[in-house]
Amino acid sequence: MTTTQQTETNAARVESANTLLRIEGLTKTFGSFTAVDGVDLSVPDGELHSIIGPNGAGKTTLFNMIAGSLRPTAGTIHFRGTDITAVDQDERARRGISRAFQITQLFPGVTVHENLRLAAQASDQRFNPLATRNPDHDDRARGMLDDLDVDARPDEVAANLSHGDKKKLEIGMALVSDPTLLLLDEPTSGVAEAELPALLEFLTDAVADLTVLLIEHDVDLVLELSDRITVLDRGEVIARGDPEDIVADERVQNAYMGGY
Amino acid sequence: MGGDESTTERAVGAPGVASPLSVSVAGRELSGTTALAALGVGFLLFAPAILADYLIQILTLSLIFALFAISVDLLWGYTGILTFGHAVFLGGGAYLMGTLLEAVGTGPAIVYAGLAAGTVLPGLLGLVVAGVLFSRGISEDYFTIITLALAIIAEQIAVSWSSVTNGANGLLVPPARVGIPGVVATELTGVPFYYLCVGVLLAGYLVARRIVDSPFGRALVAINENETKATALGYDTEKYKTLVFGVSSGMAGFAGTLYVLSERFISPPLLGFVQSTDVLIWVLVGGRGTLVGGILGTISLRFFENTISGALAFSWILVLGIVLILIVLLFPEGLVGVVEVARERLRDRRDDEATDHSSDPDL
Repeated sequence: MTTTQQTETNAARVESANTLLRIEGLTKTFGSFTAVDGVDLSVPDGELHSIIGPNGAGKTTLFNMIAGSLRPTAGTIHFRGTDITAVDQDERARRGISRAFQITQLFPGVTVHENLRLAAQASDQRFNPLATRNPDHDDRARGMLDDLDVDARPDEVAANLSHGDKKKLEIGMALVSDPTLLLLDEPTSGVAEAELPALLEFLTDAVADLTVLLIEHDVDLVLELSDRITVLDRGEVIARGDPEDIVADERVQNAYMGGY
Repeated sequence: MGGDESTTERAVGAPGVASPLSVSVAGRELSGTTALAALGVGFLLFAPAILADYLIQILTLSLIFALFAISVDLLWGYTGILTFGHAVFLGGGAYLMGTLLEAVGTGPAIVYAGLAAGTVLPGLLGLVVAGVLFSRGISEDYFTIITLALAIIAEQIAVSWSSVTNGANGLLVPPARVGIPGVVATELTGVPFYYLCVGVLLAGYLVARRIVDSPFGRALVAINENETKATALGYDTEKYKTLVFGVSSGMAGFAGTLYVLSERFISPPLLGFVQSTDVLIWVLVGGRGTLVGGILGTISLRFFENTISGALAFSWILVLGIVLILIVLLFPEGLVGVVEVARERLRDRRDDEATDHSSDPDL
């Protein structure tokens, strides 16, 4: 082994030590349409990394593959150093990959508290039909409910919540499991102007110590929150860097002009 | 803010005002639900003193079918799995018990073996069927269609396999004897058998209640509410659905073994499509996802059926159909829903009287 190779291996090891998520050559095709095309992405522990791009750029498809609801056509996903490309979605969730959906996915017929409690329960490691009620799940649900500061009462059925509260609950359900990696898909979409500041304040607090992948249309918000940004266009990475680089990037501006 | 306060308020109710449906027992005020449950159990316990023998016989079979209805409610009401073939497991348990009694013997040991086999084997069959189908990621709709096909196949097998089942003529089963194997054995019929069924139904209800209140059962509710989300949160929904289907199938099989002890006769329709849909109607009318609804629906509909079928001969099924449509349209929550609404009305009215001339325009 030459010294150069040695150095490279060491560098890779150093990188993998604090790289939480590493994606290589990730590709998804639907028939002849390529939604995501050979995307590489490396997210270190603690980073807030945004994925932006025009509509149809493949952002949500990328999220689906990271969360595990969609199998990639090619490429690999490593999480905490292990290959999880073939790991089922529920198993990925239990390993700490949590997701808040763009279109809120709640348990509409049960109470706000129970929504959160069910989310806390789900993150417990095994399938155990004989498990008894764990008061810790209730405590975590209550704690999260305090942080969320929703207007609705804890015993209100989730279907009756305002859109803003539903959004908050969606994020709360992703957070209550204490995730290692949080996938946030358009957390502010459809939220009324008046409800936005409170949601942002909560979000900023909640994700402060977390590793986050964020999809968001609100460019100002992205520039404010992100450590780094990846820009996708037609399934491909066209730019990556910190917010200043991205603002200055010509291709990014072109892609956005083309997309709208 | 104030969230916790309002919860407490709602849970405790207006202090110092007795609910109109509450009963005071030994100085302790019981809630309306407990009172209604006590009323129901009281009725079942004293029924033999009030009702004629033939009505007790009808009621006995209704209790057995109510257990079957509970097994279906676990699937349909709580997990959202609609099955058009659950009678396969009921009938499977029945044929197992029936064949044992008819071909092997009628002593207590055989009866206990029949109860065990009639529960465990249908349960395993349910696990296999659900395991295979759900692991293939089959959608709920197709699952339902396949259960329908299973019911049709099972009934056809029972008709064709006449060396064991005596075909469409049905299988006459000799009376079974219970007791201590090798020591004492006695036939169990009439009122004693009725009480056994009351006990079994209550036990079955409590087991089912325990299941739905456990974390496992709450996960079933989550799957019913939004399976996509349940999976995304980390629930292995396939395992949950498979296991509950197995448990429910075992419960249905157990009800089937009791059916044979009660009726001493089995014919192929018991494991067919019609029997499978009857139970859906009982659950629907009683109220899905309540467990108690299955019991109420089964007992009341079968009682209704038995009384009006005498009076109306062939048109009773027409009347039944109309009643069903009305119930679904007017009371989608079933009989349990009707009781709930009635209780709320009563409470509201009493609250009005208590607060007197309230200025709240909402009331």
